[in-house]
Amino acid sequence: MGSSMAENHPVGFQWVIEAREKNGATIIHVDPRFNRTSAMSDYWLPLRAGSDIVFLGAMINFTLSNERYFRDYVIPYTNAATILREDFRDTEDLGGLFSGWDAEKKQYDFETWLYEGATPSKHPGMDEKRGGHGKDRGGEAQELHEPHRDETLQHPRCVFQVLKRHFARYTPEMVEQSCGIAKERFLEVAEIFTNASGREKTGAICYAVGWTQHSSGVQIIRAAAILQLLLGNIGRPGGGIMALRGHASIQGSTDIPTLYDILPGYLPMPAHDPEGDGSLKEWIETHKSPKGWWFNIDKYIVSLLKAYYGDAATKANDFGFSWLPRLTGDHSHFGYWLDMADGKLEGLFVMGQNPAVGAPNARLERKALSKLKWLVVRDLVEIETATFWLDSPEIANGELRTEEIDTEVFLFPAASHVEKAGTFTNTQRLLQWREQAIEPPGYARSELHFMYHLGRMLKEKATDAPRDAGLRALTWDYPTHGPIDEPDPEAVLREIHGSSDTGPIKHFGELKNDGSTACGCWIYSGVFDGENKANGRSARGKYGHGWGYAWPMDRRILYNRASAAPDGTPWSERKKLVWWDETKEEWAGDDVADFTKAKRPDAKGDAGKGGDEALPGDAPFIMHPDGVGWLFVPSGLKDGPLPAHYEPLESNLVNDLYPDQLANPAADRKERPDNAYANSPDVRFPYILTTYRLTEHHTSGAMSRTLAHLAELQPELFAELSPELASEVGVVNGDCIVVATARGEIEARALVTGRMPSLDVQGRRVHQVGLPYHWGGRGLVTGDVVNDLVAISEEPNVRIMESKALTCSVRKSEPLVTALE
Amino acid sequence: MAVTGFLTDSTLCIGCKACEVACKEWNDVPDDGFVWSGLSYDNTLALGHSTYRHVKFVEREPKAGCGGNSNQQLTWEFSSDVCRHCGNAGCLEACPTGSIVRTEFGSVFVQPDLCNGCGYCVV
Repeated sequence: MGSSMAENHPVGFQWVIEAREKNGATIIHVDPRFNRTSAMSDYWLPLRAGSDIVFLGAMINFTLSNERYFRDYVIPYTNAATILREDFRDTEDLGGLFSGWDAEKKQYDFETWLYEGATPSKHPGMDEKRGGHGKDRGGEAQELHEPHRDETLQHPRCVFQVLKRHFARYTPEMVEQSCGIAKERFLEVAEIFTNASGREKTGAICYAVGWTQHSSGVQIIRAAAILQLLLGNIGRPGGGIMALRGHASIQGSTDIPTLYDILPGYLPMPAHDPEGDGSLKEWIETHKSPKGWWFNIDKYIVSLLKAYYGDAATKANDFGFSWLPRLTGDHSHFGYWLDMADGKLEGLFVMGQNPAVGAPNARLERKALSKLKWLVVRDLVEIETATFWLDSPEIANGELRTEEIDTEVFLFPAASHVEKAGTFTNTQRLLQWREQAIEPPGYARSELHFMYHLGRMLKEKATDAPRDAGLRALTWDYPTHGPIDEPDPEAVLREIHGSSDTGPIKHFGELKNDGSTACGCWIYSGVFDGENKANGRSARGKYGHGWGYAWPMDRRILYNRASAAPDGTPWSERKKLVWWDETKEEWAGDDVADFTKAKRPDAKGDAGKGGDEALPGDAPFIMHPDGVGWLFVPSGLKDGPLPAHYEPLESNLVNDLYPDQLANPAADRKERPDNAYANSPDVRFPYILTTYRLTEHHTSGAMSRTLAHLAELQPELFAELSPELASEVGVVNGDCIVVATARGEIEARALVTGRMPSLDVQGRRVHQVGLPYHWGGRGLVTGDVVNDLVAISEEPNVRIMESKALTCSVRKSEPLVTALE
Repeated sequence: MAVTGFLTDSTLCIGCKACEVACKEWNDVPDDGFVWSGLSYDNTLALGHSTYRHVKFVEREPKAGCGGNSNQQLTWEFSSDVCRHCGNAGCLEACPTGSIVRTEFGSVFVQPDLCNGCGYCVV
């Protein structure tokens, strides 16, 4: 669900096909469109875009009410038995809202979501400045305590009972009513999927941005997590939830982030707090968890600061903590882009993206660029973002005039992946090293070259002023080689791996909080233990150890302690992965145990010691302070501890589940004249619009519309619509049509196909329109920018836009009437 | 020499067209122009002087509930429309100019400089 894996991740999809061919796996595809993935699946269920939580909620309800959950797994390994506070109120009680909603601030106070008996502490996860990537570390939620549990799962306030009541209204009938999927079809598929559970079987869920890019995107994924935890499908071979990544190293760019709200290794970015003292001690007290792995957060932040500032980072100066930038507001892509549109931003670097085509409300984004003083673009070709001042649609229609734009644009040619060495981190957290095959042509340079030499030149310009102290202190001594002074990427990887005053370290287990160790990203530590393990090319065993390096500690399956029963024996011979070896007194198996190696399965947690030692030997989810998987999330989410279905921000339907609450109350619409919304409902925009990618092109098309052999395969922008809708609006296959939303309109060719079916939803016929978004004004094949139709909006946790479910209109394009020649 | 052929298992094909691109890159042949066909996702349409591989998209009205791998109905088939390099190649036998030959690797090859375009091979 939420992905066309065969279409967009064809290389990874080979393993799905292999599972089908070799193991007889059943493939189920739930998607508004019948696409390449559906063609390879055993079942395809078309659903109404934006109704994913109804479908998943009904799967959860089916699992609970038909006793399909894996009870022996659920009780010890999840918080099903944990008892909640008396004053917690569910959406059932409050007409679609959870307790703690502040209508004025438009955000939740999440104190009532805590476990019973927990003491609320400072919870910056809810701070408006901070995004969800730097989310709750576990310790922010509550002081150390033993959760109250009822292992019979009968207590009316235990998570299990709350879950049952919450999902009771997510019925097969509701799926038929709201998703447009026939009840019988749903039940057939629910039967098959929930059967992939228990000791002998597992099932996996793959998703991509078809889930993420919704105003409740995080909650859709949460719903999948609940389902998989109930079925015992986390931490076991063949199980899991695969977040398919859209680019070669998107996983890497969150681990060592290009995001505004985290530092490497998911350490929260410090925020400006007028009431705090801004000290490292304060940051550690806020984010350190008394129990579980985040107990070690002080070691990781101090080691990171030592990697940044070297000898200049001392205990006396807080290891240079004050030199780190501070969050002062929403600095996400949308936050700063709207600031740019309002003239609050001076300059911008654009690398590896093409927002003039690829970002929502692209028209607003292009116009905002004209407010900059300077713009640096690095890319393989001269992309639309670099030429907004010359040939954008706004220049053509007179909204912008070249001679009135003051922005100075610098275009730098970039080296491609074969022209530079380094690592990719893929969706399974695997770091793979790639060698440089050829020298980059002309002035094209690697990102590493650009950033290193930019930093070197900036350091040379550093003054004695206090604001330059961090720049002066920054260690920036990577060796370079060759005629263009290319920095050594292995030196960077070594810095990421870490070191200590006394020599090399093996992994992050050796990091300390006293300044004696340095480490650029704690989760990657281990990748350069003696040698560059990302460059390993001799795979062995079932899980390919020896090929690349999977963080953390080369563990191929996360939380794999859950692959064994609480007593340490595998759930079954068929599904064994790691187990307790009584003779060696350690965890053994086909994978590196994601667990303290010598901790016995019957070990009791020692709360006095804190951290990992406070967790018992049967607690696989070591990042959580209670060591279990969270069916119910007591802290860290901004829009509720449980997923609830809300309609998209633009919808012509009612919320069947909670009629009083149409859309996600915590989502930020960023509504303004240049980012307008349709009403809900709105007769002007009667159809549902969803956007996606094609195999033949890559995102904004900069890397594919410029190549003849790819461009010819999908040469023109098209819109997929059902024969029914086509006849309703009077178009035939191949006609030029106009698709419009409250933001604007674009022209496309009509591809009339039964693969994009109209559905029966809420007693009426609902039509959906599909648009791939690869086209722009430059390249061998050009077309209108589909993202001109999409609004800038922010899902409350990770601030992503809703591009998978909007409302639109469709009409036949009238040929331009030109003057007589 | 043993009789060999070129077989594509269509049940495994996801229609990604990477083979089309790789073939053009390898043989260094140009694009065929940028024309949208409106016929499913198939803009290649046919083999030709600069297209030696073609993945044909056979689209039939899908039915909700069963995907393409279902026994009940094939709905979007990606069919390999290319030379099979047959052991007994009818096209080779029919070629009046000797343009179509069997190479030392057992494959069937069209020598473009000898072809007069009569079309007997197609018939």
